[in-house]
Amino acid sequence: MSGSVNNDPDSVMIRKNKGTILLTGAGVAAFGIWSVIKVVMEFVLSPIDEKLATDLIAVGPIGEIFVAIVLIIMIMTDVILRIFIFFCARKESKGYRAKGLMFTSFLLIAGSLGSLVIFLLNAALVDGAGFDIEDMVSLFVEITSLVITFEMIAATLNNRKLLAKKRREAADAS
Amino acid sequence: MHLDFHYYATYCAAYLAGYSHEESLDICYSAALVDRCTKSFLSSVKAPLQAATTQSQTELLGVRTDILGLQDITRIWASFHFLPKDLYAPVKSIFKNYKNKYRLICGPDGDLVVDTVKLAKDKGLQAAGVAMHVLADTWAHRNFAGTPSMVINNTDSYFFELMPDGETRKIKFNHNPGTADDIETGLYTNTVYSVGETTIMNLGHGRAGHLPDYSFISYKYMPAWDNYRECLKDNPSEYYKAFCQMVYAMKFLRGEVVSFEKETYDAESVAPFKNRIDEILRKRQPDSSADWKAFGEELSGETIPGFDETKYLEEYKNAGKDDNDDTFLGRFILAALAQKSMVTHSIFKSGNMLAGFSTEYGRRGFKGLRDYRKLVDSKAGAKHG
Repeated sequence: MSGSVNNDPDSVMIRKNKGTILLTGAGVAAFGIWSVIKVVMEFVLSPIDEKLATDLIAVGPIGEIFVAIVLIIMIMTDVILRIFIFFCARKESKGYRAKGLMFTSFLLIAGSLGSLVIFLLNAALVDGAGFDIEDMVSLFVEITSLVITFEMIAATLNNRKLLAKKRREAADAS
Repeated sequence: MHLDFHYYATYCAAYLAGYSHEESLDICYSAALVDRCTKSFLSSVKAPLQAATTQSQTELLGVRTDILGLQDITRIWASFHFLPKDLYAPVKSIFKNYKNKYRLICGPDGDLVVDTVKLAKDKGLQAAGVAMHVLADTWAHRNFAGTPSMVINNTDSYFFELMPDGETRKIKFNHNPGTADDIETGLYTNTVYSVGETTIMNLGHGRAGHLPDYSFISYKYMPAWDNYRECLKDNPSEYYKAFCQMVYAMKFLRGEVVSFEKETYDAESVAPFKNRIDEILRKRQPDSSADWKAFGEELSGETIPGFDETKYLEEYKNAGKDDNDDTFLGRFILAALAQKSMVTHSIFKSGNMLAGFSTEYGRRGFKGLRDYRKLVDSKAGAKHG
């Protein structure tokens, strides 16, 4: 780093991108809490719906435990993915390339989109499912989470492009 | 800036401008008093509280940050420590509130600093001292605003010190105000990050800690208002310019120079002492008082006493209510009220409500806070006396 200021447009953009990547990476991780809240709301705080209750009775206690374990694994996977993304984002914000950031981000997006689609289909096609205020809030939060993830990806790609350009310019200059 | 510059360096500048030893002491004392004259200080002698030129940390902890509280804070800090550079600066924003805050950003060589110096003309040594404090702070505190604002005054961890050997070193901050700054390792204190836009943590240069007040340090950082652009703060050269501008300003106040213009510095008078002053400014120490004191005593051949904020309290207390304006502290209070009134009115006239309402009492008759009645009476006395 030199003693003079470095305010060419690319350098300013790189600094802006680094800030965005770190902030949105933290946002992605924070939304892991939302995943946990969703499950707690659905299975612990809300009265269990009749169809689900019937299905659980049908599979018996071992089946219930199995369902619970699968659910916990799914939530933990989501949370761990998000925390991994945060650490990768932090590494990118320091100017290093974080392997796995893009892949895990798109994996997360795929999962979120999948759950969103299932949720919408359920509301639209299943009789009596409907769309209450809780569903609206869930939908809003889910979309926000997706937007943050996309923003992080966009900033990361832009940053990598600009850093590569800087390296080429430095190589040409020398 | 700290006491070393506001007291001892101002003494040196006053002496170089042609003031006598005693006059220089009065000027530098008044300049230093600006950093001590809190509401608590004034209430101890039953002086007008509106003349407060600063707020102590204790006062700031308990201060209101509603609209009226913020206006009170802005009136003090923008008038004495963060004089706005350009109240009509072009701003790319559709939000009036942001524009108002942006336009309070402090910087040297603005129109208000010219008004500040001209306001002190023929108003006595205390007024000169107040003006010198304000002028000097426009250099040290540039790029920060005297109003609590996260979007203007916030910074992040992007701070790099430019070392004398040409290397850069990352500056680290801790938030414990009880710990001293460690110049050797580059560990300094600053205020803690606070999400609220108008919290006290985001007042002035709190987020940069004491860095603006150390004359030796050059550093780069990113102020929140500058959109990820680096800002270089070269304190040694800026403090030198502040010193030269003070000499020029005080020559104007003495009448030796006809006018006071922006971007004009008396480098010629200071040139013989440039190396000495540079050495003081660049010496890596948190407090340069001893060096400035030694320099000042060499210049004048006299002893410069230490700063004692209680020096003139008894005189003020013992003078009657009708006579206390003629005491040292009384004259300082009048100067402070005049400066605050001028700056507040300028901010208000520019369409900015961050310092609250203001009225031209000279034209429209007195309306407003009782404490400012003193200014009206002193002007009326001067007219008829």
